[in-house]
Amino acid sequence: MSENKHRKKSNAKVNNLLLVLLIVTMLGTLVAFGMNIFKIVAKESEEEQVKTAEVEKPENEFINDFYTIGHNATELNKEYFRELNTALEAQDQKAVAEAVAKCFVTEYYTWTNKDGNYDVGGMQYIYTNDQRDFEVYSRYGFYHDMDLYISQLGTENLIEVTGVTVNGVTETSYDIDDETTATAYDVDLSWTYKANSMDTADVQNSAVFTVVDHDGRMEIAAID
Amino acid sequence: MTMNNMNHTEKLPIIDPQDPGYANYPDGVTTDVPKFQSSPTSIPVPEPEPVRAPQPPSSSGPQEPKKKPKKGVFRGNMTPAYIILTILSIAMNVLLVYVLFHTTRFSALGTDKFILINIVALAVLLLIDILVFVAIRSKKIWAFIISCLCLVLAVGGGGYANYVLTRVNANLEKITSREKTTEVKTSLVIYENTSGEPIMDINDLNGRKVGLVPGTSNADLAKAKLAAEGVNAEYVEFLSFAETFSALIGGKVDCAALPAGYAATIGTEPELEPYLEETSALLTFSESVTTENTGGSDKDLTKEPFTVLITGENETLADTIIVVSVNPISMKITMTSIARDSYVPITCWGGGLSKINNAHTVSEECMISTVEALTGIHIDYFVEFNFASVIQVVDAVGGVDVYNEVEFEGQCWDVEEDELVVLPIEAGYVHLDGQRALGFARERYAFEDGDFARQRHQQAVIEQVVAKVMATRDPNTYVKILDAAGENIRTNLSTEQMVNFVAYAMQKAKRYYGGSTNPAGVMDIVNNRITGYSAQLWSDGLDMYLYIYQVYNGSLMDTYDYVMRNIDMDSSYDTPESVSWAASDEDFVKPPMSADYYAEGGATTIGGPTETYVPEPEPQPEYTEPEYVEPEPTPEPQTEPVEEGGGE
Repeated sequence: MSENKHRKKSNAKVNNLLLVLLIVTMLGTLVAFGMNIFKIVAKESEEEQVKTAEVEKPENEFINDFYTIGHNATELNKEYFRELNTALEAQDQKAVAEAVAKCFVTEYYTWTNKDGNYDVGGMQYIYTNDQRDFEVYSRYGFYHDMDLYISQLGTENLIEVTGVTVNGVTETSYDIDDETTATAYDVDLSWTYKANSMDTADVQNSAVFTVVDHDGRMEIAAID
Repeated sequence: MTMNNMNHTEKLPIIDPQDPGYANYPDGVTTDVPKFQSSPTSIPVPEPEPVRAPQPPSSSGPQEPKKKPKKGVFRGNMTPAYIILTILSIAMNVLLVYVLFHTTRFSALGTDKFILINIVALAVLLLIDILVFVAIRSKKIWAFIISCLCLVLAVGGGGYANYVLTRVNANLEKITSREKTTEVKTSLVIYENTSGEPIMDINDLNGRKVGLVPGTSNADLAKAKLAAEGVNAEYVEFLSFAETFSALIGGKVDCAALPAGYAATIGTEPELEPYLEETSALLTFSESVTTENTGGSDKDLTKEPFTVLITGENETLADTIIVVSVNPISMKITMTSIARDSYVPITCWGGGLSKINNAHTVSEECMISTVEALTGIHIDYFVEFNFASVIQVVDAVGGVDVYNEVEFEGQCWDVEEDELVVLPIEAGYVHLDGQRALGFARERYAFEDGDFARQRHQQAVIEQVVAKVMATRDPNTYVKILDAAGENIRTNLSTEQMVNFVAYAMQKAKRYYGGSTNPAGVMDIVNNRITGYSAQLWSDGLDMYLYIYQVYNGSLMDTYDYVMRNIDMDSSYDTPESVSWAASDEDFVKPPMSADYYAEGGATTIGGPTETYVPEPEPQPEYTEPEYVEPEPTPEPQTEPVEEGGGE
């Protein structure tokens, strides 16, 4: 056998060894990554994350040109949002005002789908220029002790609006400031809460919502 | 004789093309002789080349037909190159597996993203491995070139990722390490007007009095140094560096063991500052001191409320003292500043009264226990920073935006030159870089409310940094912040706790209504300070009063109540308050945690000479010597002559 042939045979052996090494490396990498992914998933499931903390993109029917339904919406909230869609399509401002107020009530006064005091419901329906003020007002008012309620009773046992009654819708105007007067509707509503361990006897269950036309978008400028 | 049975040793016949049998030769046997039509009279026919029969097989054995070399395939020996390729491939796999394994601790920041990164990385690795496999197996040139390129990129990328990861982990390790090694620089300070024999070197301290603050590293090092030099001095203990300095000036001690940068801290005491230029360091020495702090609570910060003590250190004193409470459900964060001149019991000095910032000179634990005793609030964790960290962290987030009430010249710090630098800070809404942010957070004299303005500004800078961190999506910013923090910030929070809380806050910010434009708005930050009143403390050393701050008990109690409501999840709850709100109303104002003033009375002067009432004496007439009057001569007594006879 010539030297050339011997060398070729030897090279072929080395090359085969390299290929085997590569296969082993690939298998090792596959196993390592598999373990890492498993570790990440296991770590996530260990931390009992509150399901309501997840932000899900709503279905298309719950998004329109002006509003998007709130996080983890209840069935009642969805029903009123569909009414809002209908009113918007019909371009019936009074109906829109009524639907806006009802949607706000189901979002703001429902805590079973909330995550904490910062999670103030219905913010999108509040007069845009004063949303931050309303949020702070709520965190020190209606939402002030929500953390204690969540901690001591559990989110699932908190208030949830189960029905809203429209007592009247009156067209009016509203002075936003010294210079601005807007077309508005006073929407008089009352609502009921789900019976559960949270005592709702003294919790607010009625109000008049002044819904104003803010550059074509209906927004709540006052609650009384 | 045919071609097939020819003996290969026979000489082959030359076949003449004119031979009639010429045409019978088997296919494949060619001649180069062109077939010309012979014509005796025209063009002369060239002599045809003799045609030889095909070569017989050689004597070495049967030969395979020569294969045409394939295109695009290496022909030479490529084994050495393949060995290098394989080594590179294995190195790439190991490197990237290592990097991804060690980033798993940060997976809470985005679990789905981390899983996706792992899957993509795995796919890329396997693809490159397969390319290398094909390159070796098939010897294809294109596979070799592409796999080389991919390997170079992957190994380079993996190397860089590993470098960044190492940097990040090293910084986190420094920040969260329970052990702290610092270089403690101590000076033996003398006063030029000290009575007695002049002190020219350390040996002149024999038999003299040396003042120090017990429990501090400076005191321990000073004693060790003097002992090593064989100096036998008498040690006098004081409760603070300022008191020690006062004692030196007042002649109660001949020498003071102080931090080498004592001028910076003593200089903040207006009564002591004038004496600085009359002092000098007899000797300055430094030594590395390793201390170990107690670990923090093992709470799950995403579920349980917790408290943090933030201290800003300056030459071992605590210039900034802020008690923070965090409620992860409500996302309410209270920040309560304590004035550094607050005159309070220092727990590690047996409850001896002194300015609260002096507790930090002993240890972080002393600082924590003193604050706990003062406020009644248990502290779960601490975060300690210094000047350099403020500058570097603020620069890492791109500066901060604050409101400055008054234009002033800020006492800033040049980290590179390690010296004070004065920079102008304008009034109004301003954007400050690191140096100016430090000046803004330190200034008090330019503002009417002095130290309260400084506390307010410190909280504003911290809030802004937090807001910027929450708003950024650039991983480079996080790396820069960790680089800045690594050398200059310490905490007993674990890396996992910090990562989990940051991830949790970011998740909340996504759910928060204004989260897309203002993620920091998810936190309801309540600013507060322990209020009190200015007072003065007599200094025997200086024979004068020094400034102190007396805290209101009412402020302590109100702060305690508010913080406990924030962190105690068993607190009683009220019925949700009915909503009555209008856009046209004045903006809602958050109720304060404590009041600015409490009618408590209390001493404004502590110590000093005793004062008793001495009534003004009645005005006395001026005494004059009576005029000497010569007595009148006593006249001589005159005697009547006596008559004889009797009477009737």
